[in-house]
Amino acid sequence: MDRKSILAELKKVLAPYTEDKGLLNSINEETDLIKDLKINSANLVDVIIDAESKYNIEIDMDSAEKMFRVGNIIDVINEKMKATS
Amino acid sequence: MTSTGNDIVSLQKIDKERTAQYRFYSKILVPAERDLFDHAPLAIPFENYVWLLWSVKESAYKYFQRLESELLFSPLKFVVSEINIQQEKEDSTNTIFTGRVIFDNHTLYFLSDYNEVRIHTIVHHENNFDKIRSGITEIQSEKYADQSAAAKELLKQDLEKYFTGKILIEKSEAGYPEVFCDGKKMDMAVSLSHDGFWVGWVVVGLKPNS
Repeated sequence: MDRKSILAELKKVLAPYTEDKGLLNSINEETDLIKDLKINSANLVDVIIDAESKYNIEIDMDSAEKMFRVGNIIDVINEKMKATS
Repeated sequence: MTSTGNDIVSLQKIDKERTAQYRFYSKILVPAERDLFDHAPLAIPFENYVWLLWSVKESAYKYFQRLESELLFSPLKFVVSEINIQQEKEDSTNTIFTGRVIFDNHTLYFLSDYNEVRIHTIVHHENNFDKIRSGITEIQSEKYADQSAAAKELLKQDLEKYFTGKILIEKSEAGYPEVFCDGKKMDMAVSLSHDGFWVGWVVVGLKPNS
């Protein structure tokens, strides 16, 4: 799965936790979940669990702590998908 | 450098079923904290305990992030080693939890004001919260921008009781709030939080000039 496809799917994972859905149209790899999308930090574990389910991967918390920016999330998903394939 | 941290969790917004699942809470609690719940008679549901500890960990993260701006939040690295319960007043529906949270060989103390609808936690480097000012308010909107503005406004209103100048609260480059009075940065630490309809604030190191 290339980064563009992961990004497209990631928007669906982030949507339930993003108050202003319009912000999702302009996300890129530099987008910060809390600062830019205004996702409440209390929902970060939800984002991780939903990403685990969507990509059938397991994300340890050492990896999860890097998942504050979209590009980092794609890195982690890519890495975990390769590890399980 | 003085620091502080606080956090609010709206218990009306949590997903109880999901919180009680191992794959969810194991990303927040270490096994010793799971054991702490089994052995400490806290008289609260497990899902609320998970979010109580989340609020402690996030408050502690905010405290340390002020000192180390690049610090990332990893809940499992902040470990609650002790938790105690005390009823606020006989007729109160609120419960106060106190205890200790450890991060990288540093210890902070926490005080959590808990009831069935929300948890508000503040952390401090001393086990004495007498000189700390804090507040929590329910507002009418749960929109992010409204909450953020309300938290700033409530803190500003409290500070205006002590300062005659124009108070401004702005975020630093590292993301934590700073207080300015007539354009001069004040030597105090403040922290803001919001979740659901709840907003909270805390001030440490207040030295009134008027």
